Amino acid sequence: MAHPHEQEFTELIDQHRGIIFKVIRLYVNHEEDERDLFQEILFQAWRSYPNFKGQSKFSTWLYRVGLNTVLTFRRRPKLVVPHEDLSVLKVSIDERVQPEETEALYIAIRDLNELDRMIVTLHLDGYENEEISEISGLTKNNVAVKLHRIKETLTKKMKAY
Amino acid sequence: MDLKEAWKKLESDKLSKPVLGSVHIQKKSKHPVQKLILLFKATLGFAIAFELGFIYLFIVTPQPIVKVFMVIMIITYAFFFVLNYKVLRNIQHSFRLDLNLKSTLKQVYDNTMSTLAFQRKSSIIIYPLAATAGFLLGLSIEKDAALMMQKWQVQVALLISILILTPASYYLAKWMEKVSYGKYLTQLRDLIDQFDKEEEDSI
Repeated sequence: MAHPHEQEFTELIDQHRGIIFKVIRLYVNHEEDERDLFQEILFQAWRSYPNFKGQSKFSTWLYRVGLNTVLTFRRRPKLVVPHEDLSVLKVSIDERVQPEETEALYIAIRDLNELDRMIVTLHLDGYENEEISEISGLTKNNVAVKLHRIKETLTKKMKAY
Repeated sequence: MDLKEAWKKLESDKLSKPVLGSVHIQKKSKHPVQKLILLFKATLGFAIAFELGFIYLFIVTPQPIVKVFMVIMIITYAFFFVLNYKVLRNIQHSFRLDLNLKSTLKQVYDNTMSTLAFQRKSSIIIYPLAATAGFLLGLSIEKDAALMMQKWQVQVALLISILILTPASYYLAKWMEKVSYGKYLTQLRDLIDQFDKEEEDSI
């Protein structure tokens, strides 16, 4: 028998599934892993759903669950993005006459370590440093320092492409 | 194009591409903490099975000395059942991926590590008792265990059994702990270390 809130939860996920796709696209490369991670995020969100009391927007809450899941789930060797894949992408970009800045940004973000990737994507999505600090577990000052460094790195890399 | 602009474009071009799979909640998880929860549940299952075995032996054995040791084992297993149950509840309660990740993982890791360490230390006292219980049970099958225990040869045999079985069981349990819990605990430790390192690097 279905749980009384399952329908409501499924509808909310359906409306916000783009957030899950975004998290997955940023951390995982292979189709099988994408599906595994999609299911894992759904499972973890469902587990935590009874604690969602609406203090934040559902999208913010789901973003946090998704990022936290991907960060802790990534330890399986096959889920780690192989560095060669990034090199291949980079070569394909380099071969173009005028590489798109968005593609360059994608590669540059994927080249960051997982924690930095989390911090910068939250920042680019409009989250305040305080919220990023709360989600990541780093202090607010650390977030600010790291963000400054990451943004510098990304800008340099984008210019280099 | 600045970073935010490029990001917006990236989001609409690439990051919104759907992932294959339906919104269907599976009840299985491959998460390391979820695996630890399963291991604790399995431990509780084994504890219940052993507890039932000891209760059965307590009922069927007629010899008081064996009954005494069975009671000791029943109490010991009941204690460890309650301990593991509390830890399981605690982990289930604290493991939430919608909260601060580092403190959540640290809580689960510390809780599991301290419980396993406590069980390991306690086992040094429990294994000799378990060995004695088993020895007396074996004696009671053919003879009067209490009477047999008065012979020095039997006492020496018991002492040798304890001296061999206690360290052997201790290292076997330690190995089993490493095989079952080790992988997931290492994953958690690595993640916590990474958070700590990131924090140090930013200072």
